[in-house]
Amino acid sequence: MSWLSIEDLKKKYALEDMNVDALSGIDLEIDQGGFIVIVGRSGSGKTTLLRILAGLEQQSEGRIIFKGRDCDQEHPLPVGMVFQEPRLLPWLSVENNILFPFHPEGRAKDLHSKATDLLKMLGLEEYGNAMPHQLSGGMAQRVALGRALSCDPEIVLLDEPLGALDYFTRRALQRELARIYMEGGKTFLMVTHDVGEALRLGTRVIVLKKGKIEASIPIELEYPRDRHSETFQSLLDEVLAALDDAE
Amino acid sequence: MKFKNKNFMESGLIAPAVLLLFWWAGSNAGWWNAFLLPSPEKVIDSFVLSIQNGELQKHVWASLERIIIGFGLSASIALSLALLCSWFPPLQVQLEPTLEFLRHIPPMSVIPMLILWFGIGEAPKIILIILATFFPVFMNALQGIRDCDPKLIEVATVFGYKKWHQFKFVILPSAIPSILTGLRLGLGYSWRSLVAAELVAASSGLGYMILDAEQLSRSDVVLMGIFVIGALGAFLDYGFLWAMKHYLKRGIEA
Repeated sequence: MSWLSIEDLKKKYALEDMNVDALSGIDLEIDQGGFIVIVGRSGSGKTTLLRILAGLEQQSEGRIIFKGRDCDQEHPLPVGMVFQEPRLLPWLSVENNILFPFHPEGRAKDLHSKATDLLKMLGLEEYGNAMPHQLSGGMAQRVALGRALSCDPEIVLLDEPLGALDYFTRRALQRELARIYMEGGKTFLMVTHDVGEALRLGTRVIVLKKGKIEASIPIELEYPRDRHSETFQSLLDEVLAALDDAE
Repeated sequence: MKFKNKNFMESGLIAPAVLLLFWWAGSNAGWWNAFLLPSPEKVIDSFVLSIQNGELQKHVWASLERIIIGFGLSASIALSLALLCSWFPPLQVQLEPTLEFLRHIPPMSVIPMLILWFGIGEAPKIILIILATFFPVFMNALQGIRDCDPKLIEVATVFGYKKWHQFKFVILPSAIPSILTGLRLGLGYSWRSLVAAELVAASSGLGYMILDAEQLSRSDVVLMGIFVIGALGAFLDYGFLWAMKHYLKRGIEA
């Protein structure tokens, strides 16, 4: 059995008189330490899949099995999550936002050094006492990434985390994500619209079509990846072809 | 005299200064009957005299005491009920028609019944303050709690916060600005309603002082009382605003 198994996962939404299948049977085996990127067109179910894994929604059918144990909203996966928007708590400082996963009640005293280390890793060491409204979009998203990593989760979920950023910030954060992935040995699951981003970061790209997996393409390239290389281009064509088929 | 023009222009002192000047000039030139509008000097004299004989302090304290008790009780009841309603929505559904009915009744209209039931002691005044203060505090607190961004609640859910902790560490802090606004509005309402209550049934307090002065045809004391009420109300509001800004600036660090 895999480290993380998703078996026949289905999600139906009731919209007025009709049922909409957001996921119509996802089967996925994920090994520890991979960087799985899920791509697909709008409405293909990729965010729904991530939200179910995060415990924000309950599947209609199917199982999520982590280390041989069934997971649901009562017994969630050990995840940290970065959303499309930073979603920082505006009344907390940057440091306290990063430490948010540690419940304020019973929070250990020595977490300041943990926050400092994370801030340093994210290049925000001077902003620990800043408030979220004082940060740029890219900085805020870095803090959100720090928050997702602070509780040392086994799985990091990224729901189009760079989608709202400008090109240069996006590229910088892609490099940072690749570095954090290589350093941390965590398992990343990311949803993105950007196929280039998927190939720059992923060790496997999953193409979703109408709530089903259309293709699962392994990416065996060293970081940092040269997007002009032949292999990169042929993988890009392969993913784009799968997406076109998914139309 | 030299002053910084910009500071003076931004101080908000021009309008009161002009009014005061007009009042002083008009009084001295005899533009109106001094009984109808006594001069500023006469009002200041009454102010100094009532401080010297301790009357003003007595009335101010009597009014403030009622505010502290009435507003404190009202804010406690309104905040507790708002928390209960947000935590247990069926309670709100049950209470809504009654509260909606009560909300539209001007507190002053119930004074006769309050006097009938409780006499002219402290109880009717305190109840009047509670009635006047309850709704702004309750409605703002409830709205603040309801308006919490569901995306922030999702963040708490992802990081394993159970319902109570979500409420304590996300919903409540996000509602604090709205709660403070409600408290500030309530404090203003309580002050206004109190003075009105003291005008009707009291033997102490600023409202009573004004009514007593009216019966003695002391318009200078009436005006002095009005200025003290305005100044104290503004001072309370300013103090509350300062505390609010200080609190929000510091942040509600969990």
